[in-house]
Amino acid sequence: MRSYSAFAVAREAARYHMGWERAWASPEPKKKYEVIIIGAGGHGLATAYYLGKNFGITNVAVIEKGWLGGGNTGRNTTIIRSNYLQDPSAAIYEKARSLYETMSQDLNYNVMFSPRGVMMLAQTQHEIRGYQRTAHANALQGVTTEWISPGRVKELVPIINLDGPRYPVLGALWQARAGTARHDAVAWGYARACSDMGMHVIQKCEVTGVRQEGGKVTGVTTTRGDIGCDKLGIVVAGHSGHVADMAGFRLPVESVALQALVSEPIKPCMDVVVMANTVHGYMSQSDKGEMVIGGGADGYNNYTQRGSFHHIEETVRALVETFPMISRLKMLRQWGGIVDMTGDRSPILSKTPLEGCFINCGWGTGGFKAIPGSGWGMAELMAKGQSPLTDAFSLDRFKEGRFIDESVAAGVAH
Amino acid sequence: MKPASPFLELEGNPKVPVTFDGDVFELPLGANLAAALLAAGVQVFRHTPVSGAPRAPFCMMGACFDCLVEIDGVVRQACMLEVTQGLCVSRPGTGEATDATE
Amino acid sequence: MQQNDLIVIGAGPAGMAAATEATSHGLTVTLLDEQPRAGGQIYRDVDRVADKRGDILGKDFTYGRTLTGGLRASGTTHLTGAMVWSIEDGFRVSFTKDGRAAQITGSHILLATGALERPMPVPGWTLPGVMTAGAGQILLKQSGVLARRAVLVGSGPLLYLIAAQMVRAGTPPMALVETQTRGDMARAMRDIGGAMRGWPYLVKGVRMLATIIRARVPRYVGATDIAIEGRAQAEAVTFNVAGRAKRIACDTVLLHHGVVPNTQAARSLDVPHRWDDGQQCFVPELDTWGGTGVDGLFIAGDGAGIGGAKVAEMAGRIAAIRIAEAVGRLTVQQRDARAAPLLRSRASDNAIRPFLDKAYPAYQPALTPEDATIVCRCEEVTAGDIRRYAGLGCLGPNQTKAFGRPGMGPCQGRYCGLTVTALLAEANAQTPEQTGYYRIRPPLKPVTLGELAMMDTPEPDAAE
Repeated sequence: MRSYSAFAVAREAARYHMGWERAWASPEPKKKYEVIIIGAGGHGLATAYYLGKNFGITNVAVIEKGWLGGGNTGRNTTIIRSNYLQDPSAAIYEKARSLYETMSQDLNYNVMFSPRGVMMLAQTQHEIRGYQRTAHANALQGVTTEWISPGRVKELVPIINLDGPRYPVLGALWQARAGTARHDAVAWGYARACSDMGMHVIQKCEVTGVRQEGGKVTGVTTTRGDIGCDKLGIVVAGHSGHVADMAGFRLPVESVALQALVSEPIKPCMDVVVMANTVHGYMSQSDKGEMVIGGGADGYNNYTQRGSFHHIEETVRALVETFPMISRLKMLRQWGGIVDMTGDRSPILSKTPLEGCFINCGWGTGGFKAIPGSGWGMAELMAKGQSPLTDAFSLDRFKEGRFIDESVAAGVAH
Repeated sequence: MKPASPFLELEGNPKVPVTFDGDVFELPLGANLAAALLAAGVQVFRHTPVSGAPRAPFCMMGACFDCLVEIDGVVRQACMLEVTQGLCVSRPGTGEATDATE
Repeated sequence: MQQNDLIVIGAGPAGMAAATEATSHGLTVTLLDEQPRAGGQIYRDVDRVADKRGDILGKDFTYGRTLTGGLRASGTTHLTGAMVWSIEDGFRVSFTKDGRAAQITGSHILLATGALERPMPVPGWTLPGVMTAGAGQILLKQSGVLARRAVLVGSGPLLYLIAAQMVRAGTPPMALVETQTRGDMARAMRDIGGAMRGWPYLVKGVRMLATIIRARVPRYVGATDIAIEGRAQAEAVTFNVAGRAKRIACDTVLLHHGVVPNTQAARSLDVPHRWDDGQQCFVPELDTWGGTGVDGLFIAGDGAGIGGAKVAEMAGRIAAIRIAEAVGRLTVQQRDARAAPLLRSRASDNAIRPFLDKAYPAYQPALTPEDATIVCRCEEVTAGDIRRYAGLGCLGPNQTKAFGRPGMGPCQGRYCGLTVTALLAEANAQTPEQTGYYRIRPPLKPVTLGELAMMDTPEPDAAE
């Protein structure tokens, strides 16, 4: 695998970029692997990558129904932050955020991590209390966040209107080292690194069944034939319930479409990420100049990867009050991603009733930011049977009542 | 001053002043805005946000979005608009559309 | 708000005929169209300009007044200047009119969104002064604006029609640079049987050509290596014909090599499409009536597959009759009796198509252009870029968006979709069908966030 460098970029620029080789191989599936990961999104690929990097397990296949990074990895609004309330959440999200800081170097692939700062606007008295509490909790957890005044909000975001009649800005929770990254590049970087370690990333291969013998997983059936494995990781976000069904167990998740939209490109006007959770909206400006706007989840469960306008209209109406200038911007594209939400708005990284089968799901609306932390913990869980990052997120917690309530910090997922 | 136009107008409707990028043109009232600007000699309607290349109307039926102009802060298709009295049109500069001080 | 029995989108021949037919059976019909006046592209602004320029544009154009007149008298609610940007299942149609967004609901939808010119990416096709031939014709039809020094490039009946119209208007084109070859015509002769059934079209074609020849407009047949020169504006067309390089200086270049169905709205509703090898484009899968796989959703006109204005008109009426039966205004027997003559004459009007498709095929080098040619006009992505993405492992059109943004600009893939599919199919050794097409989502056209925020929603929403 060629290493990317400034020299290579200059050389290729001089010859119309025709010399780049494929960043990942497209192999035919083998009969058997030590580990199969279902889902070549960020979480699945990161899991495979850390299995190889941290535990030397490289006899791995990542199987994908579509193409890599084509699900929620390619559909989210790329926000990375770790200002959660509960200790287990702060631990895994902060692990992820810190891994993002060095990801480009680690993968030798530019994921364009931009620590531009993320603020969560407090627009009700309830939110003021909630975010101040989060700021205290973060201080104890070693996550650097602060409660900032409306004046400071205006300094950071000059285009904001603090005095909206329905949604005034009363302050914000500010995490300066949070930010964004290029979503596709995260999937591509991990895929390239996995491929480099000899792992197989197999696209256009849909899993149609999970094979088992005596309560233990033995492989999967796919549209490209049967593939055996000793361990199976299910990392399929919105389709988790469906694949878990094949493996013979049920999950406490529901799937809903989460919506996002982008505007036409404009000159740079906002260099931080703003989240307005009361109105289920968040906004940042992309490198291209488009305003990227995330909306709320649909009010009902479904699997359609498109939004419904009478729902997103609410979000946009409120955002226009807070950002009057965007009202004249054209919405160019709008889409949905299927997210899987748990009752406590925290993920599931866990062993399952099927021996050798592990699940990573339930990230709800916040999966992208967690990718490296999730992959790190999931790899440890699959390699060693347990991980300090994932222990609290086991399936058992729903039986035992150990909920990790993140309905405030998770933002729009309520 | 009306520049020489590659286009010929077959008829002469009553004209009204329309500003395009600072210049005032006399355009036929009620005419298709893109057609009227072309006939008036406007050759470049906008520059692309990617490379800054010049563009002008291409499909004249609202499909290609190459005739984009800016009116009242909104970027719109000239071929889908009609000439009205006192219309003020400009080339869409990425960003002029939005005034942060609103 | 009242629920419509039928919402028709597009006021061209199919849409106008369908709305008129449907209201005649007592259906409540709303017709939405982007243009300020009915007519679609083929009869663009016919009511205003038929008297002024009917002699130039010809009888086939002024005939459009029959349809606009019928529509006006029909009792259809015709919302003009209404840009539809979303159609949701059920059906809820969102549109913007006069700077305000609104929604209406209906139990049936007829998409009559017509055709787009087949993209013709040749070097220089993004320069100001280069337009589709259809655009040149729209300028003439609607606005009486004519290019003084124009070269028409490509192939097909529309190229002759606009040339003949320009001749009649007193400003003939400087030249016709035609890409079809004598061999294409020879191959087409195998379908002459069908063509003879459509003899009125042949007669019209011969007349148009006679007009062009009488005006001594130079014709170059079998042109290859077509490119447009110019820095800030088109300055000349260059090409090869019979092994000789030619250059014609001009101000305006009008491109045309056929039209293809505008499938954006149908695709946004997940209507299955198939690749049509004869017409080199995707067409929606439809039953005899124009019904799609989506319950209550119909398609008529060129959006259903290219057939021309008369076929569109008949298809619009056929779909309306089927919908009238579906809402209980006609019995099945009445429906069949009323539709039978229309179905027969539609078949006869369609008979000439295989001949035309073969005689005037698409210009191959514009289907899979050379590397340096821009394919996606909005995001300025070249054919070489698309091939390079395929080389890096890009499997389909939707994935190209992640690699380099083609199809993500304001036109939303209308003018690059088919080319991107063709390039990927070639690079990955697949058929266009296997390669597929962009996934189209609302907004079908960009809408301002302010309009979205202030949208008027129908009553049922208030109860949610």
